[in-house]
Amino acid sequence: MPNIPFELVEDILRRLPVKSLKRFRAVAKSWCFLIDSDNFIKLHLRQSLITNSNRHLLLGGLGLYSVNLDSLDKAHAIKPPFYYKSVDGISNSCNGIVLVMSDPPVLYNPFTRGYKVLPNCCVEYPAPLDSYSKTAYGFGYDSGNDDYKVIRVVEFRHEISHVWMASETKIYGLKSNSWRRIEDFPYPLPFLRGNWRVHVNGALHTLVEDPDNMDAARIFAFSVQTEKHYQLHMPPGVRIRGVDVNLDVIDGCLSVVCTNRSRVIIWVMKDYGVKESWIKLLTISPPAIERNDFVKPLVYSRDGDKVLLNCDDKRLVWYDLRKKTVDNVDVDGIPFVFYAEACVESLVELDGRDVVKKQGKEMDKKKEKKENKEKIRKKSVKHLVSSATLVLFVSAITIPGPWSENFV
Amino acid sequence: MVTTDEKGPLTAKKKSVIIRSCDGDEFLVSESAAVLSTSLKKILEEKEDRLIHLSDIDNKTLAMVIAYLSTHADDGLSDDLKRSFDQEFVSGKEFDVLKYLVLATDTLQVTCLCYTVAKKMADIMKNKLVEWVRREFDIQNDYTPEAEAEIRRLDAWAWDDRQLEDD
Repeated sequence: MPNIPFELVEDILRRLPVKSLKRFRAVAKSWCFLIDSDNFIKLHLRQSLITNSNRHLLLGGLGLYSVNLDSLDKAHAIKPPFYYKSVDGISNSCNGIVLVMSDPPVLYNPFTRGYKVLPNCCVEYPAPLDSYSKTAYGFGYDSGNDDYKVIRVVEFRHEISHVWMASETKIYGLKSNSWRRIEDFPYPLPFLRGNWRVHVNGALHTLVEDPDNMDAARIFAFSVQTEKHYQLHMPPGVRIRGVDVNLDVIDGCLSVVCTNRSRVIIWVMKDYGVKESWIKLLTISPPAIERNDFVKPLVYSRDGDKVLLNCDDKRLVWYDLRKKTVDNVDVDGIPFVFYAEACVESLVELDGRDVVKKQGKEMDKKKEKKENKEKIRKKSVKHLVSSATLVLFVSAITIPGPWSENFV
Repeated sequence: MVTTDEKGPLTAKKKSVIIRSCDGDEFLVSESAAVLSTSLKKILEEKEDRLIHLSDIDNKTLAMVIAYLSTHADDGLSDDLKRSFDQEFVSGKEFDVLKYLVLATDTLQVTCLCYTVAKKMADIMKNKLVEWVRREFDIQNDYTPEAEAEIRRLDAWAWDDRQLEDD
């Protein structure tokens, strides 16, 4: 039997899904060391990204589900290993990680089950008179510093007129595991549906009303790395009066979806930042979709001939770009309503392992009675601290539901 | 992709080389096919010898690699046809055969085939048990029973699959 050199073994392992790799840590110490190494984690992720493999749809709304994008056959329920309410929203995904907007928010890798509960972060900004606050979270990867960052914007609006009054912005870095305040956001976030899903090119994007032209909107981007704002061009001729305009992302490209009563037009910016590269990807109208359907592009098919669309948060359909036809996708166990997010699975660690380890050790309670007593004491102290944090969070901010605007 | 029109001492399209496996079988291969292997290309550039002896590739494996190289050197075949050939090429092959193939493609530096074979091996391994992997890769378990149990408990969900196979 031939002996396969370790470099080749690494080459093969890079093509495996996360679940198999977690299992194969038990093969031998050298395999465990390789699979846990930073370098392998990055290579594995890059391999999945360039070959478009190990991709899933994460479905949120009521509970969390994942659907393998290659088979699109079955929705698997995900049960986060931390305090989580089934209505808690999830952010965009980035390298297999999502931000779960619980109290407090949690960074979560549903594929390794690792997680990181974010530390407490109070609002320093003095609330203006007659104002209420609304919180939005953004999540992204800072490739320059190899860090995952969470941005929290607390907006103060007038109680009666709902006019934007001020914003406080804080940023969390996974490496430092701490929050710090940055320059306040110079614009309100009116088009966000509770969070900020459009993460492209290391920046979070949002549509902002054009103060000079009531009919128009602008795209503002906030770079997760430089923490600076910049503007991007809208597709040509897109107006917001009488049209529902949404910003989206499809396979790493910025997308604008314009919906009016009779049809939906989806634009894609092929080359990021290049105004001329906006193309009309598709136009779809009833009977292919239902009247007033809210459509969101998710991913291209492997051959690039089709686009997967989320129709009205209720159905998934493949739209054939050549034949201009629509095919319903039947996924077993899919929830009645959902929002969907395309994501790639990864081994990226979030530090939550320690907690899992502790849980594992707790099972040995009977064996280690002495240690047990001390552990329980420590645990109860921890419990107190975390419930205190929770109270602080609830009183400090109001976290909007993920689709508050959809349901109104 | 490498073409045969590249400048060098050996440019004629119809030229052939003889490749000999470790068990002595000889294969006549067109040069345009041989140069798709980076290693063979280098050998051909360095010496005039028309006979290349491969001391660590057996005849069965070599025949498969040569079939692959010849197909990919055929300008008459479309890329789509070549892609479907690749899929056919690895489908149904035993894991043992793939092991010899992945080694041969690594030695000969046939990157595309090496990736295809590695992917196929990963697909086979995906739902296998740890014990199967140890057997197939001839790996000694160097964990203590306690350490292995701890790893299995940490990610118990990774074993939570009805389809896991041991053969």
